[in-house]
Order: sequence, then C-alpha cells, then structure tokens
Amino acid sequence: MINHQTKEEIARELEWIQASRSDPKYFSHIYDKYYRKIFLFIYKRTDNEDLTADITSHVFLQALLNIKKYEFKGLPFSAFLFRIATNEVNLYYRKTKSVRSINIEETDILELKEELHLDKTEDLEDGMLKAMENLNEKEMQIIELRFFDQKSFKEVGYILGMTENNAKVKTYRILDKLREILNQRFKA
Amino acid sequence: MGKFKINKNKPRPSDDTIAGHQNFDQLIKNYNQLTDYKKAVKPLYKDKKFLGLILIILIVFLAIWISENEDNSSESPLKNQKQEQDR
Repeated sequence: MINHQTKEEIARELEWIQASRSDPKYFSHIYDKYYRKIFLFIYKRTDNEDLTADITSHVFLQALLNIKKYEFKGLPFSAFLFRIATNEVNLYYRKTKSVRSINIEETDILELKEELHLDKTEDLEDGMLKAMENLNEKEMQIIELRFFDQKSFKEVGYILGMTENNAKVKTYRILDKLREILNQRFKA
Repeated sequence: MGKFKINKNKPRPSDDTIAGHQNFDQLIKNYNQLTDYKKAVKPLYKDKKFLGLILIILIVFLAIWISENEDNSSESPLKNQKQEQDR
C-alpha cells in the first residue's frame, strides 16, 4: 500500500496519466476519482461554495495543462492535485487579502489534541483553537495538512515543496510552539 | 481581526451539491481554448517549420558564398596572365 492506495490502483492511475498526455479525454478518470476530494479540500480553506467550485475547476485545468511535467514520486496523483490546490488557494488569498477560513470538524482535531496531550475539556479545546491563531500561514498549512487532512509527512513535504524530513521537523516545532502558547495561557 | 477565521463543525456541502459543480466537458473546452491559443501564439524560435526554413536559407547562402569564393580563386590566375599580356 502507498498512502492508502494499492499498487494496482497506483499503476492504473499512471496508465490514465500516460493516456491523458496524448488524449485529454482520458483525464476524466482522474477527474471523477478526485473531484470530490479536491472540492472538500478547498472548501475547508475557503468556506464558500461558488469560490470552491471555481478554484477546483482551475486546479484540474492546471493539472491537465501540466500533466506532461508530472513525475511519479511514490505518491498518488492526488498529491499533485493537492499541491496545485494549495497554491491556488494561496494565490486567491494573496490577491484578495481577505481573512483565511479554516473549517474543521470535531474528528479533525482529535489527533492534534492527542499530540498536544490535551484532555477533552472544552476550555482547553477553545484554547487550542485560539493558540492556532498565533501561527503564520505556512505553519497553519502544515498543521492542516498533517492533522486535519491526515497526510503523511512525505505528502506534506511534496505539497508544500519541502523534504519529508523538513516537514517532520517543522511539524514538531509548531507543536512545541502551540504547547508553549497553551502553557502560558493557562498559567496566566 | 485575526489572521484566520476558524469554523468548527460547520456543515459541508452534500455529495449532490458537489456533483452539481462537476463538469468535465467544460474542463476540456477550457483546455482546448487555452492550448489552441498557446499553439496560435507559439514563439517563432520554438516553431520547427520556421527553424527549418532558416536552416535552408543559411545552407543556400553558404553554398552561394562557397561557390563564389571558388570562382574567384579559379579566375585569379587567368586575370594575372591577362595583365601580363597587356603589359
């Protein structure tokens, strides 16, 4: 298994990619397989349905235009799409200078709470969400990808253009930073 | 105002809503428009036909230049003989 996909699935995906390079109509397999995932990934970051639909279509268009440059690096094709999606969302917020939305669900924050050794009290959870507001954009992206989207360090690194090891080191530094903020908050 | 607006447990769009936005034909249409435009405005230095034409012109000019040089060198001994006869 490579990132929740069997070798057969990855091989089939590579066949579709190869076929899409000569005839874009074969890209429909990739489009149908990942549209929902990419849509929800973007929606979590925009909180706006129409905007999400626009960005999603742009992501697939960019993927199709750049499919000849795609190189398989042991990750499913979705990592390539998530990378484009992250760049497109960043581009949107840079252009509009609006406040970035983050939609999270209860289940999304369980792993982060465990990493921060927090119990289930509401106060601590609210404190954690408040502490997250002190992160910068890059730090927030790492936390989102790793804990809210459950991506592996390899995927986090690929999506954000850094090495797997760098993604790991940065994640633990951010967790330390959050712990420190929480400790200060609760000592005060 | 903070850098982020964190929403917790906000309902997300249903699968039907998401499927409603899915339109592969439109994607292909946009792709074709963009690639046709790119082909139409392809820079000359990337155009194989244009580069081939430039190469042919260069070869023709080179051939003319070489043949002219050969003519001059073969003509020169005759010219020298003529000049001597005139004297």
